[in-house]
Amino acid sequence: MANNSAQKTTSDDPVLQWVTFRLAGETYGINVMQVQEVLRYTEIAPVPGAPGYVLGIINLRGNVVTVIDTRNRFGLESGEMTDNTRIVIIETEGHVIGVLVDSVAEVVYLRQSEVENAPNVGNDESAKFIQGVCHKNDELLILIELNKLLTDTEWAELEEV
Amino acid sequence: MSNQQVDDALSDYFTDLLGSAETLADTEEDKAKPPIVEKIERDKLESTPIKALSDSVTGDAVTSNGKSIIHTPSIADKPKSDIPKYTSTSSKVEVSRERLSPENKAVEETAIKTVHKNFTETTTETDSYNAHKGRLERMLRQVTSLTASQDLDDNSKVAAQVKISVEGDVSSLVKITQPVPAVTPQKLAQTSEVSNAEVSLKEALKVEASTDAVPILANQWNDNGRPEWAQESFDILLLEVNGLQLAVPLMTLGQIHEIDDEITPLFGQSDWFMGLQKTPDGNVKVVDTAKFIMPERYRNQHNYKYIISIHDLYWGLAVDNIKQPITIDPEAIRWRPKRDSRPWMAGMVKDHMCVLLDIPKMGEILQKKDKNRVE
Amino acid sequence: MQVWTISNQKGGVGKTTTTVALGGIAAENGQRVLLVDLDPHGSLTSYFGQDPDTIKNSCFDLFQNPSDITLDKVAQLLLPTKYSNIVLLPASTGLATLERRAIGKDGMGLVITKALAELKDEFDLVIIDSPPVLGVLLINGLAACDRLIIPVQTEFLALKGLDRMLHTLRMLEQSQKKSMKYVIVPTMYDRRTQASISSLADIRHRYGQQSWPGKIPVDTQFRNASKEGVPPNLYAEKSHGTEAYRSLSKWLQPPANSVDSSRYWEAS
Repeated sequence: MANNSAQKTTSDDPVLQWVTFRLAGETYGINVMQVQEVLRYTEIAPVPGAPGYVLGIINLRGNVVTVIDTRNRFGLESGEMTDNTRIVIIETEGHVIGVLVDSVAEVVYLRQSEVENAPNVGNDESAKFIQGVCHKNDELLILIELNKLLTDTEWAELEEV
Repeated sequence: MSNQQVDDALSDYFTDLLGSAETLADTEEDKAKPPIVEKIERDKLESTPIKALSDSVTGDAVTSNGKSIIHTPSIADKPKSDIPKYTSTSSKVEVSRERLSPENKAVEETAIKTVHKNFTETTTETDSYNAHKGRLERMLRQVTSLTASQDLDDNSKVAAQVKISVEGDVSSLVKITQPVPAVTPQKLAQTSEVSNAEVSLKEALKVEASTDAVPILANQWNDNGRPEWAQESFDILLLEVNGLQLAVPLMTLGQIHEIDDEITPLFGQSDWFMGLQKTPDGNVKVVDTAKFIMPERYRNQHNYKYIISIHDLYWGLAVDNIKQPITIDPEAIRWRPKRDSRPWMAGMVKDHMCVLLDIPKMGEILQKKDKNRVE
Repeated sequence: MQVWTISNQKGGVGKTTTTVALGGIAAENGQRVLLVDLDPHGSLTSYFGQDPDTIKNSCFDLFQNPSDITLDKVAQLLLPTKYSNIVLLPASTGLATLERRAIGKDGMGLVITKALAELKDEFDLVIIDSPPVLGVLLINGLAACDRLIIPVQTEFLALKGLDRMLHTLRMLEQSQKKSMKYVIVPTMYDRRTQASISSLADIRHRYGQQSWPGKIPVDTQFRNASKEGVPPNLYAEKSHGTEAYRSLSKWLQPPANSVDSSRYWEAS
């Protein structure tokens, strides 16, 4: 009985976990469920003729994984690689890709109720990647909807990379 | 066995093998006590809402709207325990309650619930009243501190503002300086002590509450070619944006905030959108005012120091400077009831040769532009 | 020193395989690993070539006198393996008799906790293989761990068993006022069968947030490695199963010099 009330609270306002990373001075979060692993920056082999948002490919234990240029995807300026640069391997809609980030920070726990809507003013397609915002540790986290990161057409394009 | 019986058996089993959390380090004598504590806790679980009691007893961060403690783990930190909220961590309270007779226990429980209910109501009222008052005073203090040349002290400033608000029959004027007050005049009378400023404030709120206020953002222009909010004398703030002087109607504003280094930009937005700034009331969407209204004049560097939010909206305009408020006669404005261009320009302030921004209209435009707007 | 317990009230889900695989990978990474067998059936003990029926020194001895557990006493029971940084605390079938005596004696639930406390400077990682029965031995595993790893077979009845396990955990949390940090690991995934695919989706749907996002596939190399008594990562370095466990290991324990933090979950 008491059990039920605890469960009810949780399911009404579930706690979700987000892996946070830094990119171009802001902190973003992605759903932990989709994060497979985090790699240090390794050689990314460029693929000539690949779409602009593709940085190249890496070899992940015998598998070829495409790495996305996250800054390009988000419409941000290019950045420098540092010791903290990471490739986050994510799985979304059955695809495994890597996303390049400036650094990975901690896993953060957020309740659904803490996530606020973000505005979308502008005509850029990239705004649709933003799922919402949330205050955490004195800063505003921008939560990313990974499933929207690439369109079906773009996924198909990637297959050919 | 029923589910409850199974769970009870499990609980007993765990306690037998591991001891109960409070008694692990206890003496032999104390070890005899755990069964009583366990039993009481189970009783408590079955009784009517005790959340109120456990909140005040333990001081936990659970409130009746379900907010709770959030963990933020990091490499260095050892995670803290999350104690399930439905079990009181204060077994001492439970033991002493057990000693009460059944009738007294029931009476006590009712008493606790009633007190807690009253306590919550009273504090909420005082809080919202104080919050409104605080907001009003803060904003005005901001404005007065920006105008060093003014001699007026705070009290008379408040009185002056309030006086202007009370004059005239357009009660919508009163609404600018505070968001909708949740309190009625009677309740006001019960709270805080009286001072001059507070008396004036109370009067203003009374006027507000007792008349039908016209929503300020009704973008209504009357047949006389003037907006609803400019039928009588009204106050304007003079602002400086990118070297240009602008005027905004005071009553259509919300709050003034100092601009933060910590504005969080969002990618994929129009270039006049600076990002989100956190304020005590929530995230304000900050507009690069110069880029928004005069992109062709934009010098591509700004010196924004303040954000002025639009009344009732979470949109705010970034500005370089704010000057003293001035009372204006509607006759002193060349109005633009018909606009083919520059929808944000309400008119021209003749004496100051500066543009009067149609803040309600800007609010409307900004809201419309937000594809994620929740209606 | 980290202590992980591999546990599920359901049997045959891959507890021992997971224990040895994760232990082997940690050892490969240079950690000093202690593997603890709390299962009277002794699969972990057998894996490393010992016979739980006839073994002389085992963790059973610790339960004889729960109030007197010292470093010396514990050290005597430890068994080195062929692998330099893997040490075993074996089980014996005698463990099955402990349940009867558990209630009479005090502190029977904390025996392993106390034993491991004595060893905290000797090992970097302890992995406990627990029996598929809710009893004093499983309780010891739960009480002693920093993290609980729940392998869940990707087949139709998987969720039912998991619900039961999680309920037990919640009851334990309530009783001990301590939160249990756990992660669900889908195992025995066979991508050729609908059963596997559906149940994996079910697990992710219901418990996605508390699961490792990957899955351990069926892999014949696990059985072969077990026959040889070699941890999977040393037996078949590149097999799919080993790769999956490596990925899990990284998830649970990111490289020490990495800025990424580790992940854990709570029962409620």
